[in-house]
Amino acid sequence: MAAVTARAPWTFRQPLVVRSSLRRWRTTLGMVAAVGLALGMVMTMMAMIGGSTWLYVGDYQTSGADLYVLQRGGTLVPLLPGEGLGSLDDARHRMAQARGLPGVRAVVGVVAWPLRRTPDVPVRRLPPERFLAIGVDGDAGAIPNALDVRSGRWLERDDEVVLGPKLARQKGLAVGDTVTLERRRLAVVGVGKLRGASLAGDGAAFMTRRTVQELGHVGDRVDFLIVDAAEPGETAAALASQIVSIDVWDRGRIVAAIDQLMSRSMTIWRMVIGLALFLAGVFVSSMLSRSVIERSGELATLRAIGVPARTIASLVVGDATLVAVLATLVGIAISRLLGFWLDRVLAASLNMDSIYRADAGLFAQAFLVALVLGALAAILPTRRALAVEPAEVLRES
Amino acid sequence: MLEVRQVSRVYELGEVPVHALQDASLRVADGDFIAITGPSGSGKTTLLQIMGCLDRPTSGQVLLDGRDLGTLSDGERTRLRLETFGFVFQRFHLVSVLTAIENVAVPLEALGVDADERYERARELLEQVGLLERINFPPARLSGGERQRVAIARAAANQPRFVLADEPTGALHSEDKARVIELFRRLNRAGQTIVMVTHDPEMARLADHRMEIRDGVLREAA
Repeated sequence: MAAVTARAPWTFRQPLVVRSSLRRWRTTLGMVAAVGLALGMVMTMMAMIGGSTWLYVGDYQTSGADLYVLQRGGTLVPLLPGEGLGSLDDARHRMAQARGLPGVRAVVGVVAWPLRRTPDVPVRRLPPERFLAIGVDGDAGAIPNALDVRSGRWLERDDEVVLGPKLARQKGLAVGDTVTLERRRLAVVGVGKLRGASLAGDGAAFMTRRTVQELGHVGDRVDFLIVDAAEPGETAAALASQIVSIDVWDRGRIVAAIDQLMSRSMTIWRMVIGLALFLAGVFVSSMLSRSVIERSGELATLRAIGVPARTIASLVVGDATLVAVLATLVGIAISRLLGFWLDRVLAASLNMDSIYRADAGLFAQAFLVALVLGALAAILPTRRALAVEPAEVLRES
Repeated sequence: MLEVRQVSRVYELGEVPVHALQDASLRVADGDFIAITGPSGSGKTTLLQIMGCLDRPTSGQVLLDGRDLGTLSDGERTRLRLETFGFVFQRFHLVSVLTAIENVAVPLEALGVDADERYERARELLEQVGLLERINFPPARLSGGERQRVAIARAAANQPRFVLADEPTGALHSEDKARVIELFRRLNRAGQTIVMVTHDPEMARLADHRMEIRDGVLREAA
């Protein structure tokens, strides 16, 4: 070989498969557009599934509370008609028991009760407006990230109320206003919620448990207790052994139950996602096959001059990989645009904060899906490329 | 030494067998320049492809230094084509998305030669065929003669023992033809063994030995 006197340019240094795939970008454009669109739709659907799921699990994932204690047989996530929380009677005693256990850092009792909103000026023939009131007993601020206060502050007195963000938005109420419930005027001191207090916390009015007891004539009961513990496993066992007729739910059990609840309604979405990916895969496979047929002369030449079969295969796989990478980028762009529109227009119209939840993990998943799709789509074209007989093709040409 | 021993090749054309080659025998010694002439469809290309491990004979043997190439696996035959044979085709068969220098360097890359070394070698070969100014041109921007010179440079890139050329001037004008003829002469003078099939009497006259093939039967040319 000749002595080395010139350095090869950067493009020359790239492997044949890279140069070949990149320079064929025009022929891959159609595939990139189609697969990118499919991936964009899939990512958006996955982000909406994520958004829907997060609406329910988000509070439990964010709150530092470890355990939820409720009546035996009750459920935080009703899956069947008739299922519900149940209630814990003799609430003061049970909360005292729980607070006395070693390793327990905070215990908050929660009770939900509907209360009528009474107008300041009596108006006839108007049906009474009902608020879902959530009574809170204990220092919720002691549990890390349990409080989500958007404006104002959390409850300090019995004549105060904190409105859930959705409720405040719907009723046009803000900090400084007053709300009259069951003929008692309550000062709105904040807009926010106690995370994990209810799946409908955004639409509830939070007040002290004593206020709910007085206004709703509720006895000494709570729906459940929220517990923050240093050693959740040990505390759960201690709670179960020392307080009769209770169930203890940890975060994992809640999330699993919500996933089970969501999975029923998500089946159709998953079928649509599967169909979109299948169609995209078939499209890419047929386009790659067509490309292989068009390039059969070149592939035959490469085989004739001794280029190994694995390099020939990598030329097709390289095209598929390029399509996967570019289509993922196109898909992310489409999905972000759709997500922006969904949150700005659709979520606002549905009185929701967000229905699109996408993060790097979702896009990484989509990229993996695209790679797998590309690899599957490349199987048949690659076999076709390897089946090219140089003698036949070169003789024909 | 490349030896073809009583090689026959029969194709099935529907249900009709076509005898492309019948009991062809030929010995190619290192440094030879052999021209095989004959009319279209006489079996010239078939013989060349069998000699170059691109096709397998129906019967007979092809021996390289006494080793029967018919016993080799597909992978071994591919490796042999890469290391021992260089091919020049009538229709050039360059890779359209690669530049001239990249096309020449393809066999070197397949051999695992380092990028700088293969760049230098390909550049040198293109200089030898008079295309130094066009090393970064894609095939579409080269004339037919220029493309064939790139193809010859590619065939010589791995310094193969045998260059097998199938009608190398068949698609060229007379001026380009003269340059290509000169290149083959030069390759042969440098010690390369050349087997060429051609219609072209001018090309055939270059050779040390001339063979003729008619209806699949190979014999010494008159």
